[in-house]
Formats: sequence, C-alpha cells, structure tokens
Amino acid sequence: MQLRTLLSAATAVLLGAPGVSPAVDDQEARVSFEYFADSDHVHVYSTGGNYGIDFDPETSLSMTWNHELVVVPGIAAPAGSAEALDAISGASRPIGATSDPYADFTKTRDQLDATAAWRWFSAGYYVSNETDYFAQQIHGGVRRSLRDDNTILQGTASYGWDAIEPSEDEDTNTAADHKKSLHAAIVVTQVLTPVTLIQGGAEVTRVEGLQHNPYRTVYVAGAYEAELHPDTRLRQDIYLKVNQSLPNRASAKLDYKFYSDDWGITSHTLGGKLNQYVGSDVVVRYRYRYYLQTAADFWREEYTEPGGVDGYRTVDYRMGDFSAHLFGAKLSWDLSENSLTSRWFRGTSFELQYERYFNSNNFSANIFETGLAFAF
Amino acid sequence: MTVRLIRPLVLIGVGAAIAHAVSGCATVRPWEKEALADPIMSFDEDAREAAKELHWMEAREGSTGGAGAAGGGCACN
Repeated sequence: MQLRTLLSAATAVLLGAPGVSPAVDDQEARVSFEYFADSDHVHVYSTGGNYGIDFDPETSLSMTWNHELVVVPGIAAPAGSAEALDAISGASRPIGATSDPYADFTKTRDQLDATAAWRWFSAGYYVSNETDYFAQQIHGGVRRSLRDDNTILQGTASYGWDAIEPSEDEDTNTAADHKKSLHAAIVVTQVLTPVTLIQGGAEVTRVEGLQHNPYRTVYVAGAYEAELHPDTRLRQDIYLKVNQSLPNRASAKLDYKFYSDDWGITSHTLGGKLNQYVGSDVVVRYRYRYYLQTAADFWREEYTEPGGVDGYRTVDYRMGDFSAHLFGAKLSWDLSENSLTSRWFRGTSFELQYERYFNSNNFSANIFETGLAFAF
Repeated sequence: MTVRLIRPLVLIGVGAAIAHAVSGCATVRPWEKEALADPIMSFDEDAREAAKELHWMEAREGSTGGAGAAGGGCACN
C-alpha cells in the first residue's frame, strides 16, 4: 500500500500535478530470466522485468529494466582476424593475443526504460550502459481509438544518441565516437471481424555516426585495413500482422515484414504462431520464423581493390546475403485459473520458452526463457 | 539513390493507404468481441517479445524493425 502511495505521488509529480495523488486502479509486474547460448560459445544471462501501473483509465506509468551478463570465450586468433565476431551485444569480442588467450571475457549491460501515458499521448526515456557503449533515447507517441474501438491509430517517434568509447587493445581502430538515430513509425490496428484482427505499420529510421566494429580489420588487396561502413544509413520497413481466432480456443498469427535500406540490404521476414489452450489454464504456443536478406552494396567475400568498395569494407556477415530459421515453443500457465494454485498465486502466471535459431552462415543459437507475471 | 530516398515516402503512403482501407471495414460491436478479448489474440505480448528479441537479432541480422505496437489486443482498451 505504501508502494502504491509512493508511486502515485511520483507519477502525479511527473505528470505535472503535484499535490494530486490519483487513485490506483491496476498494477502488473513481470520478472524473467533468459539464457542465450550460440554456436560461437557466447553465453548471455539476462534478468529483467517490468512494472506497470494504471492510475485511472487515462493515466499510466510503466518501467522496464534488464541486466545482462555476457560471457565470451577468448579465442586464439590473430588480432583483427575474421574470427573476432561480435558478442551478442554487438560490441567488443576478445582476441586471444594476450597472455591468456583462452580466458573468458565478461561484460555487463544494464538497461532501463520508463514511459508515462496520458490520454492519447505517451512519452519516455531509455538508457543502456555497458563497458564501451552508453545509449540514451527519448521517445513519444500518440494514439487514437476510432469507430467504437475498432480502429486504433498510433504514431511514434524517437531520438537516440549513443556514446561509444572502444576499449583500448591492440586492434582498436577507432577513437571515441557517437551514433544518433531518428525513428518514426505509424501503426494501424483494425478489428476486421469478431474473430480477426490485423495490424499494419511502416517505420523509417535515419542513423548517423559509427556503425562498424571498431575492433575489426578486413583483408583488402593483400593488407589488413580497419573495417569501415558508411556513417549514415536510412532504414525503412513495412509490415502486416494477422491474428485469427480458431475453434477450440486456439489462434493463429501470421506476420510479414519487408525491409530495405540505402546500403542495399533488403529483407523479407515471414512468421507464424499457433496458440492452443490445454485445459483452462495452460496455453502452448508453437512458432516459426523465416528470414531472407540480400547483401549490402559494399559487401564482398574478398576485396581485391585497394580501399574496398567505394572506400568501404566489412567482414560483418550481417552485411552479406543469408537466410535464417527460428523454431520455438512456449508454455504459459495461469496459476490463478488452477483450483490447486489459485489460492496462493492469484493473478500470477508462469512462462517457459525455448527457441532454436540457425542461419545459412553456420551460426546457431539456443534461447531459453522463463518468467513470472503478476497482476494485482 | 533517388529511388532509395523516396522509399520512406512510398512506405508511409502504403501505410496511409492501409489505414484508409481498413477504416472502411464493418463495425464489430463490443458484445461481439469475446474471442478478440482472449489473451491469445493480443498484439501486446507479441510487441513486448518482439522488442526484446530485436536486441539480439540486430546483432545477428542486417535488418531491424517490425516489432509492432501494443495496445491493439481486442481494440477495446
């Protein structure tokens, strides 16, 4: 009760109404643990959660946090070689040219997002911090419900600014730098029939600043040179999602996304999910996702001309053409619906998820996630 | 290059066209939305998961986006 009062007062201040402490309607919280292990022996242990509170039907506050521990095995390879792939964070990977090339490298990343919503509007702040990367973002949105809540229009925009300070080692190729991102999106959600929902959206992002790995070098025309990507990128995508309710308390979800950018990459993503109730309190979900992308204009398996292609060169396989598959299953158990557990776990649900990801570059990953959600 | 620069405008135009197209759909009354109100029909969970997933997928794939938006569950909140 004290927590509620404190949060109510804090939100009242945030919303510019000091002295007014709105009544709390609903709260929900979620905690989760995720374990990621890939074929490069990178392990990521992630603990996170979120807390949401509705003060009244028009005012809410939500916070999301995440703490990650990334463990990357040291590799015995030349500094700057192609083996020095990114860690899952996309940042540095240790190279085994030190006294103990097999020592694990660990790094942590902490992330926090807070978003307040009032009537049609929402605004928030995001921050993420790791050893060599500090990211901040402000974001806002507007949302309108139309035609007896059968149509929801949403527009969002965000501005992010990242400070990058590569750790010093023998193959660091860049001094401190920055990256800025401006993103805008429109989303339409529509009730088509009593059993069908669709959602469509379009997004545009302009990125400016350091967008390559400062630790990597590329073999170009007989010599090693620092990896270099263009410092501006215009990215856009459009997507459509369909949710269809099926007989026997099941649903099918299909989604498609088309992406393109001015580096020459285009991609198609097709996904499907099948949800099925087992009894009244357990939902099992099966999932498949297919991904296909073309290469960036400056991507080459081998660079034979000095300087690369138009002065750019990369060994980042994300710039090449490849395809990927993801299979997954998830179990959600609503403990408050079960006669044996409802007394002790009112408003509580338990989740367990496994996903297998693999692509045509011989990369694969296993992802486990478990979590608890509380509504009170 | 010109083609690439006008792509965002084309995408926004397509998005607006979708919005316009769906606005002509028949109205579903609140008492007809029982199936849509079930959590397994919600976009909210998908958006939360997709936003989280984007974090590690962006480190493995060249594209981004498509997480969608929450709040469209039964289009009644």
